[in-house]
Amino acid sequence: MTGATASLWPLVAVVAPLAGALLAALGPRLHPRLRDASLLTVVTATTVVAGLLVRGTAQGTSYETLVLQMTTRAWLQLRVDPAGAAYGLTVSALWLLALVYALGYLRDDARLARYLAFVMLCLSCTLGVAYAGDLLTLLIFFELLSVLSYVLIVHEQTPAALAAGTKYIVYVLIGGSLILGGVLVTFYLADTSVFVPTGFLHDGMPHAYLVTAFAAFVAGFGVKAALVPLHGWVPDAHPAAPPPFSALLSGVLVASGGFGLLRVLFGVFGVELLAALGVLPWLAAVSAVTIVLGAILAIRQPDLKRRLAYSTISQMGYLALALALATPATVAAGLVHLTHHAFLKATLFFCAGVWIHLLGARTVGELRGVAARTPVVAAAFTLAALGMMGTPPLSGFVSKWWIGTAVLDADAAWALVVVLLGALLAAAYLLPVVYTLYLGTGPYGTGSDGAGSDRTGSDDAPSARLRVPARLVVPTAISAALTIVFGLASQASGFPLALARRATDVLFGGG
Amino acid sequence: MDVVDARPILAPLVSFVCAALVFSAGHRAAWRRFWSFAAAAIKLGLVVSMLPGTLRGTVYVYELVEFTPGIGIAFRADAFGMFFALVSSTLWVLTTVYAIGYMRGDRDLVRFFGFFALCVSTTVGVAFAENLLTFFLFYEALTICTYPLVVHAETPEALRAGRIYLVYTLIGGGLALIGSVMTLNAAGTLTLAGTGVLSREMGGGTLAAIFVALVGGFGVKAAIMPLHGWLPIAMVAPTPVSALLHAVAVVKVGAFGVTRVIHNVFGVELLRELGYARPLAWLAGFTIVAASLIALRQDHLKRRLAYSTISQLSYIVLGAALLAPFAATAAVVHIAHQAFAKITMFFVAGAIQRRSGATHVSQLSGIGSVMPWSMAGFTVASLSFIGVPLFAGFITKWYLSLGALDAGAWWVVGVMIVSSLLNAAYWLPIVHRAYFRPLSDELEGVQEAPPMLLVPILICAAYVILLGLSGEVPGMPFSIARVAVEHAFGLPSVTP
Amino acid sequence: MTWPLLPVLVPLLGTLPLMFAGRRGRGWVDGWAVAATGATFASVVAAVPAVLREGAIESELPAALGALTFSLNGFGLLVALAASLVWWASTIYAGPYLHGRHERRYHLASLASLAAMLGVLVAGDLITLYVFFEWLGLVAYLVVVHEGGPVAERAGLKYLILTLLGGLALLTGVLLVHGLGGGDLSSVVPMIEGREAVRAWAAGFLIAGFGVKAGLLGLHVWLPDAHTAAPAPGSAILSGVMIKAGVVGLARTLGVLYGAPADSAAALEAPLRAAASLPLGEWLALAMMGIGLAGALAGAVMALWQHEAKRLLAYSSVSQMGFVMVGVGAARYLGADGAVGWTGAFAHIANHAVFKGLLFLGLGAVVHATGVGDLRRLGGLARRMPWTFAFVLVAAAGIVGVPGLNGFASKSVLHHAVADVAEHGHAAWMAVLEPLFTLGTIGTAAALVKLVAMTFLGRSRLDEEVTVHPTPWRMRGAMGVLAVVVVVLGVAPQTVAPLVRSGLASWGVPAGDVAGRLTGPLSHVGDLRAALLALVLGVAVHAVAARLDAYAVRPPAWSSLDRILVRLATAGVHAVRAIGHGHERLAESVEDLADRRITALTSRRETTSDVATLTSRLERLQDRMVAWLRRPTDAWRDLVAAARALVRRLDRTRMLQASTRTERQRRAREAARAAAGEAREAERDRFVHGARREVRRISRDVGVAIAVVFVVWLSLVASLTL
Repeated sequence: MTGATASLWPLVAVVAPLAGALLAALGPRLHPRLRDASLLTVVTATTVVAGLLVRGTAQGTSYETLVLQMTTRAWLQLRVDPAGAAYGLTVSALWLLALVYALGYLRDDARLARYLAFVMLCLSCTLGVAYAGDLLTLLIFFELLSVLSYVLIVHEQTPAALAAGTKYIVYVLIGGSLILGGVLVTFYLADTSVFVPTGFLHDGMPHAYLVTAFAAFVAGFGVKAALVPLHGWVPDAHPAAPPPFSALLSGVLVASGGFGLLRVLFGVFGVELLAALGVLPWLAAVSAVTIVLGAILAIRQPDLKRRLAYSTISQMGYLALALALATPATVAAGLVHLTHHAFLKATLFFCAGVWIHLLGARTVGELRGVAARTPVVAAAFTLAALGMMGTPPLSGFVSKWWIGTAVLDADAAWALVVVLLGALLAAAYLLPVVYTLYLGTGPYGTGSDGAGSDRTGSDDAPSARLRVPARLVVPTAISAALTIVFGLASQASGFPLALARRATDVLFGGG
Repeated sequence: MDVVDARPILAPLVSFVCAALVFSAGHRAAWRRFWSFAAAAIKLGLVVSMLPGTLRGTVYVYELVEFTPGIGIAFRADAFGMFFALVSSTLWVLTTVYAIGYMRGDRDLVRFFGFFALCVSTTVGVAFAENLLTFFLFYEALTICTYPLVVHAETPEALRAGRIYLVYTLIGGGLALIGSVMTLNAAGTLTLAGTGVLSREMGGGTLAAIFVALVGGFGVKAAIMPLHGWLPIAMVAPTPVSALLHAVAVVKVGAFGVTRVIHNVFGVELLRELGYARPLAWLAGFTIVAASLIALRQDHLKRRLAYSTISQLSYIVLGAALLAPFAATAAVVHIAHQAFAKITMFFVAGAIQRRSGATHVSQLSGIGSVMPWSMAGFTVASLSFIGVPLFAGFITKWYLSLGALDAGAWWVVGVMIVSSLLNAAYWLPIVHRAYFRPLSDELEGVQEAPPMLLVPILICAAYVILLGLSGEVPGMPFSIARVAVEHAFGLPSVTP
Repeated sequence: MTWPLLPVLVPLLGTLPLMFAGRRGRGWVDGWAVAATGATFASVVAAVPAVLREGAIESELPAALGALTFSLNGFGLLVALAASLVWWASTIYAGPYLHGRHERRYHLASLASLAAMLGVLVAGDLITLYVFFEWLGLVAYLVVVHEGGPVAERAGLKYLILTLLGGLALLTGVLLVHGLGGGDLSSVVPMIEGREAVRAWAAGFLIAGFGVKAGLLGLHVWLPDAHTAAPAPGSAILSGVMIKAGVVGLARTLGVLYGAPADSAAALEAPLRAAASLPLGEWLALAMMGIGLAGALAGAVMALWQHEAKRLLAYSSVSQMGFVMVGVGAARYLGADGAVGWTGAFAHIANHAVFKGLLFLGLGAVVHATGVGDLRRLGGLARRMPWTFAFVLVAAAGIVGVPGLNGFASKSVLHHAVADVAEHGHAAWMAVLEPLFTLGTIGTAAALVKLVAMTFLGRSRLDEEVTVHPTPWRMRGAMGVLAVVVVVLGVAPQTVAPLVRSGLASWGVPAGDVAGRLTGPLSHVGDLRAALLALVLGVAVHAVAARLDAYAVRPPAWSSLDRILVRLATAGVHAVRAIGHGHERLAESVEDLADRRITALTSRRETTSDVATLTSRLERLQDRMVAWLRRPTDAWRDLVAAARALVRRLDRTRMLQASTRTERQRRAREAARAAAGEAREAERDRFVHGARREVRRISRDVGVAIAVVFVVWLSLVASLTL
């Protein structure tokens, strides 16, 4: 990473949301319209800054900020490389959509102020994770993010939500502690923690320590990234959280675990060392299991959001698998998938939220013939579902395609089998929903829940069109449209693919 | 270099005078408050005025009397002492404010504030003690002065607690006395100025005995298990007392003493050779985990706080016992971190008790909705104890672990992780209960704490975050701690 | 230039107004759909001159993975013409047929799938092909399940599963081809040493992927159900056109893997060596022929067995696709002189589209008129529906291959191709191919004879209450158009010759005299004889079978692929269930464990754990020590009390002595002494005793105190002196 120019932009991106949080905190004293406008401007500004960072990194500069030298051995340092910039842009853009959606969804919620404040804090922390310049900073923002998300998960404060929140906090705290252990060991070994392309640990160090650290990192970030033995919190947290946050949660926050993994693999260990340690096959195996098991479990879920949560587990498995194969092509494909999946899954959750909001329909069975009442939303859902299945030429297809080709180049045919199996299973758990929406005669009650099929929501519900609030429809439509755009224009410069390639060049020590 | 200066003795003297004034002319509340404030302010001013010198490496010394060569009453404001004095005098100001707000309308206030001042005076005396004799005198004086505060309520259980407290601390004092006498035998001097007065030639038996006696003696106040029994029981004292004494003065004097013994009586090199510190470290590690486990099952809020104190004090002992610079730094700064975080919690507990009469965790459902600011302070403190980054606790955890790895003590990392998880396990439920449970009926109509109570809470909470963010800033505890550790380990000073 | 894209764009744009048609009337919707499909047909026709002029017209669109490239050559155009024509006809037909049963949805689906179909035909590279193929498969689902109801649902599910699996196989194949460095349909994948296995795998996956759609024998299970469940116009396009997508795909992609035939230009002299130069490709070709023949035969037999008119037609489609596959296989096998195979195959694709579409429309008309689709309950309709009868007759004759109708030409050319293979073939057994082919034609003939006879001829087996509705003119018109085409292409088969020629040219296959090859059979005795033979034997077979009532015999259950598929599906579902249950059990048990541990840790009892008991013990110890410490103070209190008592006593005795002075009180004193005597004794004794006790205690306690002080002092002193 040459030419690291000191710049305040990363800091601006991280700090701006805090201002938003303050605004939201004194929300009640603020006129709603004024509050909404200011929050939107804040997040938009953040997104713009993130965009600037992306453009700058694409031109080869990498921004660097020493935020805070706490002590000689503890500091906050931001450093934006293409990978971080790309992730940051995804995060802030998705956050913008989710914010609009939330302002519509929680309009009459008594705790709106709290939601907004914490969602802003979370944005700041997520960007911190994206722009973290070294392991310690990453850890710090990651921990804060984990703790702050709790408030948003339990937002509705129903017993179920509280239980899910407890489960979540237990998981992530243990995970965070493991990461801390890993950071300590690496710090002790190398006495630095600044990410270096191709890693700052080397083969000379005692392998026992290295493997321990690696295991700690994988386990720690794996909790967030929902790798399979550690995925327990995901299916509970997603249905419990309010839909706008479910979208963020499974769009970018779960991915933050994968991103941390990426940093560790390529910023700390480096490919050669990992090859020498011979740990990657294990990671690959775990992520393969994640892909398949997550998808299989998704098929049986009657609750739509729960089903989507399992789908997230499976999709994050793709990212982990791509990282584990550790060739430039696969990693680039994984990053592309990260972005594409973020918007796909956000769309799906937005739609689910609309149906919960307007119809109170949570299970797939209750969604029969809903398309007639909310055609636009249903269309968005269909589009996203097809994309998730990897139907050409939507964004999901593009990422699956690149993962597939990359996997073939990596001579891992078994991985190709896993990838395609995942795609097939995705069809198995999403298509029933889609056809239920439209015909009510979809391939339903086979493999998915039998309970819903005898309940036909279309009977008791008159097929009069529902008026969906603009604040719910617009974000949904936009992210759905992005599915097409990313699919068709995936090659265009400034689109995920190009950015991911650039990011991978840097990660692998190239120009 | 050493500079003869009266401030090291003036600092304790101020509170002494204050105490005298309160006893004599303190029957009018206005006077009482005035003297207390004035003394607190003056003392803080004195200590702070010495700070720049300390950071430059200057040490202010003042010898009061010398009975025989090597034995006398002398004061010495080195970095470590300054650190401790700074913490306690800062907190004295805050606690005075809080106490005035808290004790309003209570009886025997003269006695209360008088002995309160005396305690702080003796604490600072301990901090600035140049030799073990001085140290011992103030140490015992502190014990005596605390007694009336512990039994302030004069209920049977308070008296019983007071007796138990006396028994423990007097026995500890006796041990410490014997230890110091033996030290004098062995070394011929009692000074704490250098990095160790003992040496190998004095024979393993003697050294072991001295170590056990001194560490055991001070360990009673440091509440190292199994010497911790008095601490939870003494929680019957009024909250300001528990706050200042059991979060700051008394217990920290113990930890301070242990650290002094390790750094200045034995010296790091000697202990490295002897290896006495390892068992101590193990004991501390055990205490950290075991006390947390007990705290986990306490429903009485102050008892939970007490056991958490026991666990946290062992951080300090552990850090000192690891004999690694980073760990020692962590130990020293943790005196401040634990003090501010824990005193915040005590203040909040007291405020809740005053406002709602609730003393048990299970009674706190939804209190966050009626006392949001107090509970915010509590939340900050708990996050600090869990060691969430950017809060004070993280610095301790981070440095302690780094030091442990340097010292090759892997298990400490495990202890740290387990302990922070346990801390999460017994603090977060309180926060969760306060904010996310519906307001319970008996808390209906409870109001936020009055400003006299709230302001100290918020200041302390803010300071917890400040400590986490700004370690290295000159004048902040961390920088002083580093000077102290550099002195103890004979490291080249890297102070800017 | 975007000519090749135009046919794709027209129907695609055509869908937009339908989407937003909302509450528009049926008439408007129908009209628009017909216009759109007509425009599509026009746009395809418009492409003809360009194609003829330039061989293959190409264009590309920067989208998806790099760019979607399109290239339309003669063959593609030929199929596209047939496709769009049949589509147009079926759309015209659909309006009155559906008569208000969700026409808008149907037309949307049909237009979208038309676009996808044409996309497949004009695709210029594998990815583009895959993209449109996948869309075709998914959208066609809507056509299949359009009628709704359990039958359609089941058929749709089966169709969907197989389509998805096929699509996946296709994707795998495409990925593998890309892995080999290929992907562009116009150039051959370079041969890499040691990657032959991958190549074979790729070929296998591609065949499977396309085969599903093409109703390849074994993968055809979805086809009869789907084509039967769909509404008649839907069946017409499904069975007439869409299944061609599979064949076309195969024909085009295998070329990519195993060399355009031009590679073996030497084949003209030495076909054997030429064939041997690409062994795998050659065996592949033979395999395709084998599969094709098997399909042709089995399809014919199954068709002969059906009672449901549409099922019969569907199976006949399987058999016809078999013939086409034979053609493609033969062409591949013959390499450079495979022109005859290509000609036959593509001509037959076009022809089959037309007459199979017509047949479905016709039988649809019958169903529409009578509401009966079961052959056993039809019959004798010739008089009551003369038009329909005429059209169906033409179509059937065409498919049977009656000279003068289009089927004859293409089937004969295919026949020639098979014959060529047989004589070029290395192995003697290849001589078997030709008779089998003939057998297939006979089977087809028999099945179609059965269809026509049992529907239109003989006595009417209709129930009395069934009223035969008149067939609307629009439906008749639609059928008429196709019938005309059947005849025209039959009389002048060379019409398609230029397209075929340009197609062959664009693939670099020496064309030879295409027109001659197509018109030849009309004047070739052998072909005429073969056609006649097929027809006669077909009639005979049907007659015999009908006489012996052989149709009643059902094929054994084990032979039904359908059941196997269902078994597999259910097995999959069970597996999913099992895994899900297992996961839940595991998760629950883990969580229970965690809960129990947590409750054990946080149970609110103050003194339970070992550490807590330790604490309580310590507290008891504390109490005891405190008691001990209190004793000196108690002692002191007793001491003081004792001293006070002592003083009191002393005072009293002094008073008594003073009173002894006065003499005059002696007597009184005596009396007093006498009185107080014993009392005083008792007093004194009690006091003395008390005093002694006090002193003992005091002395002991004081002693203890002194001892303690002394010890401390001693130690200090010792320390100072030593």
